[in-house]
Amino acid sequence: MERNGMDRAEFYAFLSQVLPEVDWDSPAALMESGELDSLDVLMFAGELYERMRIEIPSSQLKAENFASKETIWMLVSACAENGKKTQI
Amino acid sequence: MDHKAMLTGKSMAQILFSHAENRPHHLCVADPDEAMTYAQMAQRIREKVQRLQQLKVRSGDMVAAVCVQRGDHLALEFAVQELGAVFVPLEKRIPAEALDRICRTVQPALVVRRTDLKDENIELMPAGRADPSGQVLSENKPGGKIPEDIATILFTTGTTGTSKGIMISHRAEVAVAQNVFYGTEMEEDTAELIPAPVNHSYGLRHCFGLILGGRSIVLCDGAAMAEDLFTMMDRWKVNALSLTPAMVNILLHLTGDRLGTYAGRIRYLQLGTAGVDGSMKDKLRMLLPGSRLYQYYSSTEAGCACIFDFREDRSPRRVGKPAVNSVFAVLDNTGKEIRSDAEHWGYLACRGPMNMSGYFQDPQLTRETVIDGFVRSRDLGYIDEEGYICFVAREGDVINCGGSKIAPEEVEAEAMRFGNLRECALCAKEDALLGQVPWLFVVPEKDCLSTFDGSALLRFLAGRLERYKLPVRIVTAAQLPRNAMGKLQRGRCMELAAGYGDEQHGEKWDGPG
Repeated sequence: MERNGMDRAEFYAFLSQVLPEVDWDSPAALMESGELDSLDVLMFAGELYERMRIEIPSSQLKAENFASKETIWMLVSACAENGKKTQI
Repeated sequence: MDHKAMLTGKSMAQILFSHAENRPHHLCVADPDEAMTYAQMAQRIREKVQRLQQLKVRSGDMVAAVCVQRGDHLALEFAVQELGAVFVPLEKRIPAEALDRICRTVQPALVVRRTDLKDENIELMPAGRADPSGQVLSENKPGGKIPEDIATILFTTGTTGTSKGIMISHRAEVAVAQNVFYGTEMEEDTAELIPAPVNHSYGLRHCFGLILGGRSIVLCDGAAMAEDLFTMMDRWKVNALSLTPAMVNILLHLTGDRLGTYAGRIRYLQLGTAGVDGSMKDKLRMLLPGSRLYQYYSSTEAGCACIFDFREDRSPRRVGKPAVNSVFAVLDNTGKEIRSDAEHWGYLACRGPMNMSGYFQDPQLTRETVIDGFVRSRDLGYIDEEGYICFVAREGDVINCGGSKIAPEEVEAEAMRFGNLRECALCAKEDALLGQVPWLFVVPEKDCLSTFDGSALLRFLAGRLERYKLPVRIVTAAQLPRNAMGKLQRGRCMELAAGYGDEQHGEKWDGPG
């Protein structure tokens, strides 16, 4: 996702800004532990689109993709890359 | 099945145990982590009973537990109740302050953070009980005046924002399960998806309805993780759905018409927790043409009391007919029963064994709410000539404009017919001359934001409504305030309206005035 101007550290800061009450460094899977719930995911997806024009397809709205900040970073990077390919 | 006979002396757990004997291998509950047959669920309950006994939980104790959307949570609830203790479910991410407040109120013997009941996941509150913050509470059991036969206390936030503990007896749990079971005419092989949280009455009661009949529960974590939801539907061959209107909106927004691809499989869909507008009903009729479509009108205090099959019936105000255990009446503000019709409204009230036993440690509120056995709601409505219960508006939502009463839902329904609106809400703005005047908050569809024309909407409404019902102002908003269950928070809309003077906020158009 660096090609969209945000590196991993900046993305993690973005996560903390959008959802400040979530413990992003929790060792447990975020959704399983209840740290993150489905409405948080919706809110995050909305902010991601509003601010960065990156869309998460509904087919990727799965708990496993939101298990940690690392998996979210990978998901969003892939979505950003797919978005660029679509534009081209 | 003689449903009245079943109300004597049985608990939901005992009904589950009887299914464990008669249909042990039938699926009881499936969730993203595991699946249990009735026999396995019965065994899980017994294991938890043993563990709770080791923890010295006894009859009359309160056990508070953080909810997870898993079969294991239901097993814990039944285990607590089998010991004669009272189950107090808590929100998954309950703030520390709310947890302290509930603990000070009910003084639980045990607070359960995870349903595995491991030592590191529970907090024992011994005699000389302390709440989680360490403050020592009374040594007495809570109040000493809790009625017998209480199975659960459901804490809910009322419209005033004050938390209320609603006491539900075992008998009431079975009665509400009957309301659900008979209301939906569940087939023998029903496997119903329930994304709604099982610490709230809606999700919990639909689980009970399925257990009553020995059917199958399929749990998932809400509707926003849409791919997971459809995975569960496919994996467990779901043929029935229990959703909230907010969940339907989320699914439609995220996945378009994908729900319609299940049209041949879904026998019924039931909706509850909030009103269902006409456009959503139309959409569901289109997507699921062969399915029974139910709407439940109910409250935590009077469970699943009224059910409406809206496949064919398009009456805007009807919310259904009384469920099998329910009797409805319309009361005036003194609690006296009145004759009602479309012009003469009163408070909708419901009586039956599914009603709550009262509000925990709040006898005054209980006396104000339960009148001659009827749980009186704050909903205004009437019973029509065919016996249908008709909802007009929440008491606080009715707008009194110079003496003329305006039901917001009526105006909102017309506004939604204008098209290209995601949602709208009609709210009251204080007015020095008329008392209150209606303002309409609209949220246009995303791709219609720049083209939305409030003047055109006003002209549209003027062709359909009496002049006094027309909004004096239309304001665009990014979203409307809703609670976690998707229910519109009109009080907060009214706060928004009160805050608008002549400043510009969003686009606004002035109505006839």
